[in-house]
Amino acid sequence: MRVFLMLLITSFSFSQYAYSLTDNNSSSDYYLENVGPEYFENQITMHYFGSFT
Amino acid sequence: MSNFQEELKNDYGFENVVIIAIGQTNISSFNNSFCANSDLPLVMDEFPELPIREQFSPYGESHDFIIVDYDGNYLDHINFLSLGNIEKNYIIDVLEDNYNQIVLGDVNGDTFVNIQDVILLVNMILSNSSDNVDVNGDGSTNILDVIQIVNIILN
Repeated sequence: MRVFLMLLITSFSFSQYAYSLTDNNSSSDYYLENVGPEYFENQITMHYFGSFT
Repeated sequence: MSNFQEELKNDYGFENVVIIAIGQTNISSFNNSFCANSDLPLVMDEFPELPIREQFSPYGESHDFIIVDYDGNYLDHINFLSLGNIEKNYIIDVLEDNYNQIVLGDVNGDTFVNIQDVILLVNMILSNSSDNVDVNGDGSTNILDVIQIVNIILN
């Protein structure tokens, strides 16, 4: 059991991209929900960056 | 962009794709103009730190369109001001190459990774099943694969 727990703790892996922010588009189905890559489980997400000043 | 997502679903069968627009908090016009013409999720990168842009670095520049796989990892990107046929075809090619990838840890094939996959895999190991469910890629099916699935679920 100890070995199992050690392996469990030491073998965590993380997504490259992870954020969870409020959807501000009132026309969106997810309006005011926190969305991000992990929110859309088992979906390919595409992220479009707007203009930066 | 909203139409493009519908096009991907209706014309190409890419049901499981979502486009998220990322603006920045000091551009209210982006919010107003975007919301009037789109039903896609819109999140705001906090200005001036822009942490999401930083997370996507070296991508995430203005007008970068970044494609991320089922596990939240980078697949490809393209930069465009307007979405024409060249850009659409590029994105469709990327999706065609990656859309049907097996969801890692999905033992029962229902496209979700959850406790049912853990139970099924444990049963397979205990019953010395000949099925090979090598989640961690070490060439064999054992307790390490169970741990890998648990990690996928927890993350």
